[in-house]
Amino acid sequence: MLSLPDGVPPSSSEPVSIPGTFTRSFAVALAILIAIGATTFWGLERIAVARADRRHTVDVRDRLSRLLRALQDAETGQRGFLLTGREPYREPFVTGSLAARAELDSLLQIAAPDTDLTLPLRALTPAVEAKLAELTLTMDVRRERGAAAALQVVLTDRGRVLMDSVRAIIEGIQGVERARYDRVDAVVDRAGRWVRASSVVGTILAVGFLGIAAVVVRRDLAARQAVERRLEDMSSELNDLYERAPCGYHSLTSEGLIVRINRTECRWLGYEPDEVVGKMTVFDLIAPVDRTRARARFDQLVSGVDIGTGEARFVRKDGSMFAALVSSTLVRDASGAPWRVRATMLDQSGFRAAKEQVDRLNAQLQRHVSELEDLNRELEKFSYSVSHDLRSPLRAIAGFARLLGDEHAAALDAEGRRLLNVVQVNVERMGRLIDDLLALSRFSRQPLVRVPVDMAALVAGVLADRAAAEAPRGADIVVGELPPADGDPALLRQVWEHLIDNGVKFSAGRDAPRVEIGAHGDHGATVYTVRDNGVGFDMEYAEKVFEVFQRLQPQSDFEGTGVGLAIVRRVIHRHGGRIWAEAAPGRGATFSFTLGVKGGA
Amino acid sequence: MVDSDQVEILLVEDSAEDAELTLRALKKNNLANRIFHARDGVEALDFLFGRGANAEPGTLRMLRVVLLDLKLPRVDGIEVLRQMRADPRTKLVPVVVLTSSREDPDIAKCYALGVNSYIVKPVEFQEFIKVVSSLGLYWLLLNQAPQ
Repeated sequence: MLSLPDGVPPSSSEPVSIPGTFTRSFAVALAILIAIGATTFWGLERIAVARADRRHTVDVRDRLSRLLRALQDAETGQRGFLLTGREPYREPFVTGSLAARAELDSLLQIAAPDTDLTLPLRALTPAVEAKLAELTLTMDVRRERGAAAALQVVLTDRGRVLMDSVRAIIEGIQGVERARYDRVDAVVDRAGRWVRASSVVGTILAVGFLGIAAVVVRRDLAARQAVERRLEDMSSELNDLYERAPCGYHSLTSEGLIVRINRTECRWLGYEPDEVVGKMTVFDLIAPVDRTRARARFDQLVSGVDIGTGEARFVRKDGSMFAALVSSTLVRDASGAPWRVRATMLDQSGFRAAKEQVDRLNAQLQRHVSELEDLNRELEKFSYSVSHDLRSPLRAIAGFARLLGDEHAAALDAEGRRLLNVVQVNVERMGRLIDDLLALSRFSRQPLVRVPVDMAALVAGVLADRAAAEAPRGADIVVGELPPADGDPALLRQVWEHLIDNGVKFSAGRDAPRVEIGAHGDHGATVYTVRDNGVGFDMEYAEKVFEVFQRLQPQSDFEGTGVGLAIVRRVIHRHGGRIWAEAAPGRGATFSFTLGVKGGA
Repeated sequence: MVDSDQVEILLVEDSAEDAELTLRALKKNNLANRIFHARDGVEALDFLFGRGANAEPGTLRMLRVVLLDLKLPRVDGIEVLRQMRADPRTKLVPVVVLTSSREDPDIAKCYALGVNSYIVKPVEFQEFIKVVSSLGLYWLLLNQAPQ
């Protein structure tokens, strides 16, 4: 018997199908056998009837012969009497005529139903009686008038004629009977041939068809055995898959009794299959805390509700627990009534462990984030105190140095005034340094907004501000076409300010200082550029220009804190863009930047 | 003690140097006649509400402006501002906050408390004098006091 994971619902048995060829061959063979039987029976019946006919014919012919002999006996008796005149010689006449009459009577009896004989037999009786009457007459003449008179009567030939007429009638009847005998014989022969032929041909055909049927049955049996072998293979494979699957399988009755369970699930639970199958319900295996819920879900499933996958804790034989995901489906029997509940189970302990690990890491990450937030807040506080605490003393130095210069100038000689000036210049520079550092920190922290920005208008605004400033540096500024961008307008303005100021500053000493502002497309992105014909720098330091406090030119030649380009780079990076510089010493520098696409930063 | 009724400018500043420079700047513009200098928040509150040593509360009749530094020992500038705005006598007195940096996170709080203006103290002395002078002139000469 094929063993499927949880069997087949009852009353769904399949009728065994017999191949058509076999059925047909068998039916033909049967029909032939019946035909042989019928033909044989019919033939034998015919033969039996014919035999009876033949016996009748022989009987009739025998009696006719005996009749004739009896008549001849009677004639013999007449002759003897005529010759001798003595009564004892008349004796054969008496017995012969009696026998002839008896034979005639029985002939009439047995031939009564035979219509063919009715007419000749009717003629036979008067002929026999006429002959007997003639015999009696001649003997009466002998007795009354003597032998000569009797001889005269005999010589009239009447007796011979009468006898010949009897003979002729009997001959006629004998002919009819002979012909009938021959006819019957032919019938018997024909029927015999039929019976022989039908039994030979029929037997051969029946054997043939039975042979075909046997071949078909053999072939079907072989095919059936092959199918059964394949089914057995499949069944054992299925069984193997079922037992060793990496998930648990079990089948329950509609009351929850376990009727089948795979080895994997048994291993998880720590039971042997015999301890569970037919003995425990699934609820016995579920932890008490989850049992009520599981029971409710089970009832729902049996009532036809699709409950999908649920989680429950199971109790092992040793009492320990593990969590598992269980997917259950209801199987119905042929009548549609709930029959089995089939379930797949996944051990969640590994997943749980992984989830706990993830949770732990998340918590760790959260701690790091809040630490980072704390650090950020501290940095903000630090920025504030830097600005406040460093600027206050600076302000005092600057203020009192100024007062010294203003109110006590007379007390100082030229060298004293120069030294005082050095103090004041450096105080001012330090003030700018602090301002720039704070700006850098502000641009790094400030939330980034992204809106469409008219870059041309932004640059025009910066240039207008610079033109309004007190000391125009005299560079020739050329602005090309600037496509709009997406970004933070305030921060992008800072970018333009620093790059333009930079260009103006470093080209200031040239014969024809010139700053070109423009843009071009590159692989779908817009590259904005600021080019100057200033002192430039060695490409070896191209990356250094963007670092805080990195200066490529002596402070005495170009004022500046070394923070501007660091701010620019910070802003560009926050937009998801890229900035780079190309330059050569004495041949100017070009700063190019792109902005990342919206939402891509 | 200075007669609080006569004071026109209250300078609240803990840095002696900043205070001196401010006073000098005001003096240059002949505005330093009636200035009271409080060195921290407590002194400022004492002056305004007549507490502690200055037990007699003044009328503050002539007070035109308070120059208030935010970073102060004991009671800070925000608290001084809060108490001033909470008291009907000082509620309408103009307050100008002096700060060292534009980055000061307290600036937003000050505006929420109804400060009239704020000034970033410049490092450069010349500029500082200019700022302080225009400040004094504006509040004392140009601005019409609420009273």
